[in-house]
Amino acid sequence: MGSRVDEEYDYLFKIVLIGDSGVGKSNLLSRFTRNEFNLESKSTIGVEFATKSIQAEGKTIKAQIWDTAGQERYRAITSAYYRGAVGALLVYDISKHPTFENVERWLKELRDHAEANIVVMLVGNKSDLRHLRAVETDEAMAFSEQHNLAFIETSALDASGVDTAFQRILTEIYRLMSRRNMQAEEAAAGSSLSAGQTISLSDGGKKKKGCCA
Amino acid sequence: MTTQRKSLPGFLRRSLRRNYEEDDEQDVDLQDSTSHRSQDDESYPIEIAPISNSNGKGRNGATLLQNEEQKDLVRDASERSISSHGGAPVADELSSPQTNSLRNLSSPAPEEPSLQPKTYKEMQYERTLEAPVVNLTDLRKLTWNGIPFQHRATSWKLLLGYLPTNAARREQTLRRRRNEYRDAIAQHYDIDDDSRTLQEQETLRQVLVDVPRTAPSVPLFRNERIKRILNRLLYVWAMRHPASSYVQGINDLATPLLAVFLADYFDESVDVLDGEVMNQLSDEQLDELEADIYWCLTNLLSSIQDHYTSDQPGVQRMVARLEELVNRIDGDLCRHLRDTGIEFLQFSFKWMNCLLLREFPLKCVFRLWDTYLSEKAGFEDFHVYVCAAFLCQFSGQLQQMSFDELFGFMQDIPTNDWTDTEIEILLSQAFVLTSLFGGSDAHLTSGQPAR
Repeated sequence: MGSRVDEEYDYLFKIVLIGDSGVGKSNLLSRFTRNEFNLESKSTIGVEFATKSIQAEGKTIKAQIWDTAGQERYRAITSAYYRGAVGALLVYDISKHPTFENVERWLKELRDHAEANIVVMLVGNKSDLRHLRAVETDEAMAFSEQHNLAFIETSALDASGVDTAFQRILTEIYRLMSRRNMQAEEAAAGSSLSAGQTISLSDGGKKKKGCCA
Repeated sequence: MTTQRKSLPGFLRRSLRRNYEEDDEQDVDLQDSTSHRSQDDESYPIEIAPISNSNGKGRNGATLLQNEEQKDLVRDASERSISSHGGAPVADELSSPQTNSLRNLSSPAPEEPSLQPKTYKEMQYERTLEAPVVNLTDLRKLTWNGIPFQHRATSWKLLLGYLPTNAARREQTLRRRRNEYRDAIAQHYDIDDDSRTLQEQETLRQVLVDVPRTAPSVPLFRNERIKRILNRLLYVWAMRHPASSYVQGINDLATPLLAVFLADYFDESVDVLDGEVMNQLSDEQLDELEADIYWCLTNLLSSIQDHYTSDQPGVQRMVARLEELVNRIDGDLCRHLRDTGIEFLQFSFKWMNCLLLREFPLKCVFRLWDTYLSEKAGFEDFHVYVCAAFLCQFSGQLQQMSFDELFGFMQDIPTNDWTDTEIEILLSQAFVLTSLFGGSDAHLTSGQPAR
């Protein structure tokens, strides 16, 4: 287990890691949360989980990250974990084009099972495999613009882009949430809350970690 | 890192004691002829693993039970066994309460030790396995308590229904099965990618992604010849079982079969897990090995088929049964898990999907599977009780943990230093649970509407 520091945080954001199996989701998670990389890690069965806190715009944001199994057969189980997620890192492997082609299917999974306003970032992992590159950066960037996704390339192996990816998606979620809360307050000041107003799980301000020994 | 073990709950102790009392009248004769411990040796640790191997590699003194209550329990039990047999403590009895209540073996102990004395247990194995027609009921009785190295592969193959019980039919059957498998390779694996459907290509891709990360900490599985046979047999199995096809985790299930069957080609002193033996194995031997693993895996999976079909109903059912069971055994733990917001599915899905292979060192799994294979529905039924006993062992620790800590703990349960001893304690606890709650299986599964 990681550090037992009983930290305080301002916001808790749930993030899911999705994408085909073997693209490096688990290693992205371990690189971000523990700064570890394992070339021969086991496949993820069901879900795994880790947390890490970061600073964004003067706030402490605790990311609760759910790493899901990539294989199709597990969708029924893993899609349950999309509930309540405010962000998703949709990962493909830049050296395996089929994993990029499947991104559309993963977006559909999110549309079907996740919150409508979930922030999605497309992540091209294994950027260290330059000589094996099968998905051009331009291609992926065009795709992400077309689908209104954030985009980054990472390498869990050499750590490039990993912290940035998490930092960016968490900051983005925080900004969206602040804006939405502000709008909600304005709306509430004017009239009653309109139907369908979604306030993210972290509204209501400061949370403190409670139950830890 | 030390493993803290929770004491046996009071009801377990009571139940164990009850078992022993009932057994006083029964004719239990499991005396290990090599046992040489003195009756009054109070400080002698409880030897849970009773097997003394022919080369003298016993497991004496492997573990001291740390907990006073457990010591009491076992002392209590050993006193009983002494009084009922009037001889030295009988280690076998302690390995599993099942030995006492259900699995009595009435044959007499061997009389005179030869130059290289075989243990009584070994002689029983030899007699059982060398019979013209192996009596599986007898074999099951023996194997519950662990199988000696030299009999493990054969016993597993018999219990998995691969090796015919009739010795006269074995050679022919093996030849036929191995040929069948070779044909299946030609039909499914050794073909152009162009002649595969998209679905088949995807399955092959998944197998090829998973094989290199199968048991990554065991050097044997980094061997290229081993990877090749895993690629082939997993893919062929998938092609022949389209209802489930290959599902991640099935690769894990092949690893104990592979290691045990491979070890059978070598002497006990050889550690096949380091992979060095692969230079000594001929292609023909490897082909045989591959076919044997394929068929045994097929038979194993056929007993838990709906674990891997769409939506994995078998796994879901077992998770539900585990929750129900733990709720009855350890309500406090269940309440704590519920309060922290952790769901059984989140941590025990993997336990069911990979049959605890991800939780234990591979060597421990051999011992676990000896008993699973001995049980009629070991991988389906008894496994749930083992999972419950496993979870409840850590109850005290778990109840101190927050959500994050719980999840972290469950993903990396400290079992690295586990040996057969810990597995046998676990199996004994699971057995006690089956005797307490097994009869109420109907209740556990009553979520399904009756027909």
